[in-house]
Amino acid sequence: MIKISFIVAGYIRYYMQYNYHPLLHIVLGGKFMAYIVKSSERLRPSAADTETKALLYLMNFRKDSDEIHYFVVDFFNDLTGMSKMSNKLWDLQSKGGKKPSPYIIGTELVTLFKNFVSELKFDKYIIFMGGVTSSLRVDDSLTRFTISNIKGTALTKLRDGLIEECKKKTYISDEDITEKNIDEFLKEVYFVIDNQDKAYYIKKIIKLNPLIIPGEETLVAIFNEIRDVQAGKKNISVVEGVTLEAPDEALNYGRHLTTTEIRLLVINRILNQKVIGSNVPRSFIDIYMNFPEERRKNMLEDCQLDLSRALFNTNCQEDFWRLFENIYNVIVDNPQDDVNKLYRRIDKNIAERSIDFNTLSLKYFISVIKDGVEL
Amino acid sequence: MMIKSIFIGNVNEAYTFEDFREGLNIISSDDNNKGKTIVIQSIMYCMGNVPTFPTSFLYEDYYHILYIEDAGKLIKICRKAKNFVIQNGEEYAVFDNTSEFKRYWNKNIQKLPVIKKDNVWRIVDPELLVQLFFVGQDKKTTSDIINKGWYKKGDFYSLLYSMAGIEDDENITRDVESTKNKIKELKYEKETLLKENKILKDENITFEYLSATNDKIAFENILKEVEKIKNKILVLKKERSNAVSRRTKNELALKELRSLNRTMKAGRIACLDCGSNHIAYESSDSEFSFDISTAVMRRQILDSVQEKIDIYNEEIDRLTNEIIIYQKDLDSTLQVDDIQLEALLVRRREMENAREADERIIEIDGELKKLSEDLTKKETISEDVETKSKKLLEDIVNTMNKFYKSIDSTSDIIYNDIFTTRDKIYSGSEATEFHLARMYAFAKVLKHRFPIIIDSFRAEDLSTEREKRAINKILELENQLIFTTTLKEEEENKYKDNMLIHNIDFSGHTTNKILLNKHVKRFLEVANEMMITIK
Repeated sequence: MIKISFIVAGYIRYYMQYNYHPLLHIVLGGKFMAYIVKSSERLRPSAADTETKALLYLMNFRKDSDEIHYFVVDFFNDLTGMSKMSNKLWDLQSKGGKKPSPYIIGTELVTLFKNFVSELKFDKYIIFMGGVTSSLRVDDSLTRFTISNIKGTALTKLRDGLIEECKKKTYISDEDITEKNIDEFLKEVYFVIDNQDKAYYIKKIIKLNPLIIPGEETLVAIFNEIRDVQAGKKNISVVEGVTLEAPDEALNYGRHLTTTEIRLLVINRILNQKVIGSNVPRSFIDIYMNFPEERRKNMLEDCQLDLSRALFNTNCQEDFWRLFENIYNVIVDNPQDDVNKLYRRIDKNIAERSIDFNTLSLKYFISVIKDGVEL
Repeated sequence: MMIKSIFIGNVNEAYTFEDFREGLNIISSDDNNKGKTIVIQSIMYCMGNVPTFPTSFLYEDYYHILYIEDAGKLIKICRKAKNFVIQNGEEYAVFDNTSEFKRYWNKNIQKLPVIKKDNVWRIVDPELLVQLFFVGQDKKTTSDIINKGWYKKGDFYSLLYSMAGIEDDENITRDVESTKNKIKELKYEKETLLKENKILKDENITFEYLSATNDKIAFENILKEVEKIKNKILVLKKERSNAVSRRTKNELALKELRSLNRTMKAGRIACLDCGSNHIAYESSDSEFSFDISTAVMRRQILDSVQEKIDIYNEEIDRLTNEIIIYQKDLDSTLQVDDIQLEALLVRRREMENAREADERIIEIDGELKKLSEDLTKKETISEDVETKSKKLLEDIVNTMNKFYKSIDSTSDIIYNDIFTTRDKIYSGSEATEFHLARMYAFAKVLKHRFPIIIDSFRAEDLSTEREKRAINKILELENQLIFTTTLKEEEENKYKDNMLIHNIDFSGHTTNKILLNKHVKRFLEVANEMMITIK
């Protein structure tokens, strides 16, 4: 490893160009190296939608999706997937337009290329697009492909677009724009076309009992919630001009989401559609039936009210999610256990912090999740 | 909607029937007491109806399970006494009263009509709703609804209007001003009565007072009867206080939930040197970026809690009404018996007078309620609604007449309303025809999806020719039809060869013993599938 030190460089380039993305900008000056993050563009809703779809694509639709743990928003690029130990990076650029020409696609690749020639090692380079013109692909049925599926003429234009754009960007030094680099880079790029609606992306997140999958409207609402949080990450802290040594430091800025929290969000939103009512979760029936008959209904109602309280208690947000995560993991790890056994496996320190639950209502809550998650 | 199967039983004995089909099902037997009525009543019982089982059948000792198919979905309903369990797909729901049952039905199975009763919009209870598509063997009357009590004839009209999508019900012609005056008068009368009869406010009339009597036997009889009623009242009162406490609990929860939704405000950090709040703080804690609930979720929860409160309110109303009925019973029990003790007589006379006043007060209360209801209706009712309601009734009555004419072209009876007047009650085959005509017309005009169920559909000897014409006519409907009848010897096999009729023969059943041990296995299977443990 090169010994790295920081400089506040003699010049910090501060580009506000419209189609620029926040960049980890590497300036090689003598033996110093600095990573300077660029300012981001303001997103229009459709662009934001595409970015969220891109996130969900990384999370669920790739063979290596399981390895991705963090989604760093608007830092290295539009979106960068990161493994749990920050040692593997999936760099992603999204493009919302429905029919960008091959040349435009080429220009969009510039940020990926930028990262390609940087000192950091990115493992995958992905461009996620809302659509393409018919002149681009050899086989029109493929929605995920490499340049091998791009027609010769289109590839030339795409290449031109990329080279032109690289030349315009001052943060890419001219010596990096070589035929060899460009060719090697293009071989690495993975093209993904978004061809599904929002609800579909949400449905893929978690295997739920098919009977409780909610309507399109609810799924879209969940999608929008993720989108808004994702967009909100861009405003969390100022990262312009920030310098860092290694990818893991990107997490220090709180501009990331994790697969766990997204998964939990979805389960929570779907399972807690109907909290109050006469419905008894299947797994809870044993406990229910053993309870003295005249008090059963009251007990059920009390459990439901406790759950409502927990859902309303915005002051104990962290504790709720942690408990939820714990319950979810316990259920997934012990699919054969009944609710009583599961209850005993719950981390009591976490359970204790959730003041809204007591033993019975926690068992009720476990039942709700157990019945909802398809194992 | 289609009835698929019915299961009745407990661990010792059971009856199961799983072959109801679309179109016309006729349950027949060569003798009475073969269990037809039990099966029909059990179906209705599961649909939330007030039970009218034959008295020899102790229906509360058994579990009743009904399978219904609606819009391609199988719905299982189990009822025992006042407890219901519904399995709708993978979803289980339990209730211990019909208020909740009907709300579940309304939300998850089918929209139910809503009527205004005592100035409150209510989803109609099953006991009234079923009269749209069900005629029982007993308690038939052509001049009024069945089980008149809490519900009145007027409510049935309202139900029809609601089914047809007409907003309001009656046409009130009285003047607003005169209604208001009448209310004033009645209130005054009530006040005077209460002043004059202080005994009505006296809560200490106990039976110790009666214990002075020498006539021990008479007294004990009274006491027994009184004890029975008292126990019923006690149970009802207990239920009512439970409902009240649950309501309070829900109300408190509602308030609490509203307050929980406030985020506590925390101060922020600023640099004391430069005043800038542009200070980064890395929290190791905030692993989660999402809120635990959305505004929509919270709204839904609040609404459901509110609905719970409404259910309890309705339940409290219903219980109060029942308590009033039993209290009346208690009164009359005391009245019937002749006790000679002078003291008691004196007391009784006092009570007698007061009772008249009491009855008058109840009457006044009823009238007051009705009048104030009228008043609000009067203010909101529009002419449009009036004509629509009229038109609907006309349609129904015309359809009834057409039906009747097609069965009996020679008769000069013309129906004028869906009920007959009190002084002109149809009996015999006329009543049978009238009920058939009504069921036909309701289904035809309102286009409801309920199965039409008629217990003993040819009661009082409908002639063979008329029966044939009636069946042909009623087969025009798309609804499932379940009829029962007892066949005479010469009619044996009457329905067997008819392609249009699915004949279910009960002749083989032992008389007075429809529930048998051999069905228990299947019955327990069915109960188990619904996660019900039969003890």
